[in-house]
Amino acid sequence: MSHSFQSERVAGVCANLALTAIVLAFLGPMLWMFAAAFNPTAQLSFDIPKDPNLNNFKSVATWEQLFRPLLNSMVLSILASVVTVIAACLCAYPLSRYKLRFGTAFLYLILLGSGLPIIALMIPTYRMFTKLHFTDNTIATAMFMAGTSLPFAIWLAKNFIDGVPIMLEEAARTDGASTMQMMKLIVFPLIRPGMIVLFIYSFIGNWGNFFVPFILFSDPAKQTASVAIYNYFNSLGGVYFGRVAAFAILYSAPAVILYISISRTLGRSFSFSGAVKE
Amino acid sequence: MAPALLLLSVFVVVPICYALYIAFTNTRLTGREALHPQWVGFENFRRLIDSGDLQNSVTLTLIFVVGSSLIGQNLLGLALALLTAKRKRLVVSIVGTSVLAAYVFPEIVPGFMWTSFLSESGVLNSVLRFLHLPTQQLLIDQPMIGVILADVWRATAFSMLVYTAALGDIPEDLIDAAKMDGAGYVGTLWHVTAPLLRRTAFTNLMLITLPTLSVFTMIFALTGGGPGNDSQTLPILMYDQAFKLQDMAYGTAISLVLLGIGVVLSIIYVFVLKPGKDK
Repeated sequence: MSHSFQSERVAGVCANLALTAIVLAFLGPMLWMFAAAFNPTAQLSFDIPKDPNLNNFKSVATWEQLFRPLLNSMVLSILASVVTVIAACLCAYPLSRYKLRFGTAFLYLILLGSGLPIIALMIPTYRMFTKLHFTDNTIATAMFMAGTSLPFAIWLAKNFIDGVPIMLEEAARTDGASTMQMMKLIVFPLIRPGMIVLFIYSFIGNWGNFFVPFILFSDPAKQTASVAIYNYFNSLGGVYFGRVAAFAILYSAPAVILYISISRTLGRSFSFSGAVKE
Repeated sequence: MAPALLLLSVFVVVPICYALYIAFTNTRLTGREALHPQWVGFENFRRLIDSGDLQNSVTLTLIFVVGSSLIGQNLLGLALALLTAKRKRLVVSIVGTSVLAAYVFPEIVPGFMWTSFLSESGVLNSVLRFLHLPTQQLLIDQPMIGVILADVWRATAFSMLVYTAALGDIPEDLIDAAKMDGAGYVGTLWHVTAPLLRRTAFTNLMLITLPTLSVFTMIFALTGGGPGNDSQTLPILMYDQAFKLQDMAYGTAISLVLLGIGVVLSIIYVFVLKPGKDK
């Protein structure tokens, strides 16, 4: 017995050592951003700031450099995500509830579609957009982002609607509820947690998207934060790395905060067990 | 279902059909061939093969997908899930938070972080110097290793979460029974855990290989496909040809190759996973 106890302890120490090394390897690349953001003379090399201050944040905080691109990203991401969630739920509900004639075939196509490299659609889409004078058009770009993220979103939406017991809807029907009443009073409140998770998930994806706005926007006034920060990094060269780092922190913050917010509710939002008596 | 079908048709089906047309013309980004492109048949595909661009990029894309997703993210994710399985809660949350942190930054930001991390006097070289080891300049000497490391770093969290959830679903009694029968850690892992993880591993591979196939931002930010064309994977080649060299039709032919690889992989996965049978 004591022998196996000892070998388990040795294994535990080894595991902890391995984990420490992995954690250090994961934190290492992040160090520069946090050190450079507070160092007005930051370079691409890593230096601990001698006189840490907020000057980089102050210098970058102008309408054209920071606030306009962030606002553009916000508008584009919210628009695209709202459309994604609504269209996905409207499509997933009948797929989940009724036996549709082409339901299974459609599901296979959706799954296939969620694996397509969307990046391969960028050139024809760019050409389509220039012909229709849609370049620099936030609404058209948001629709493109929503359309291309739909296969995966429909798949997720179907999975969480499948998880809502159909018994509640049948009970409402028996009690004489109209379809509209049933949707409003029973279905919507039950799938709302799933919709919120889907919205946040899709928002984070759109907020971080670089390639789509990079191709479909050319006007700096319309440009999103992902592209603005890339141009900033490239055009300023080695002079203002501290500001790029400060910008990167401010740009990353919404995604990080939203991610933390869903990681907590993800587990809870899918249990409806209390509503149905076995 | 109407709004979804409309969006899918306009922004997925139409661009695919349009790509099938553009690739057989001489469409350019600007100039006369932008307005009045001509039909050229298989000319773009012939050029793609003759120039050696395709062979180079397909090989690099394969190296990238295998190195980053199949080996890197998949095995490191599994290792993290196994290593944290029996650890104290504090350890699990420290490890989880640092790996997840890398995952939640918007795509372009890790590009800057790794540009600095791998640079001449970045953190990695400082550590190597401190340990009296030779310093590296991966992005110049071995750009593929550099971009693969960066992508593994960024994306491993996903596999870790998938495997952690699957390990949590394995009934304790199965593990206990194996131990009773005298199986050691490795024996239990091989005979009990591994067979139960097979389906999870397959689902995970589907969910990570396809996004890795179309990684653009990380490589674009780190090397831009260089030096020369040493890290020019298909998405980078597509962008360079269509927008930098303004040859839209040639770029679209490359898109179709990328799309073709994606479709073949997806079909394989869909057939193996069979979504109707269990979710």
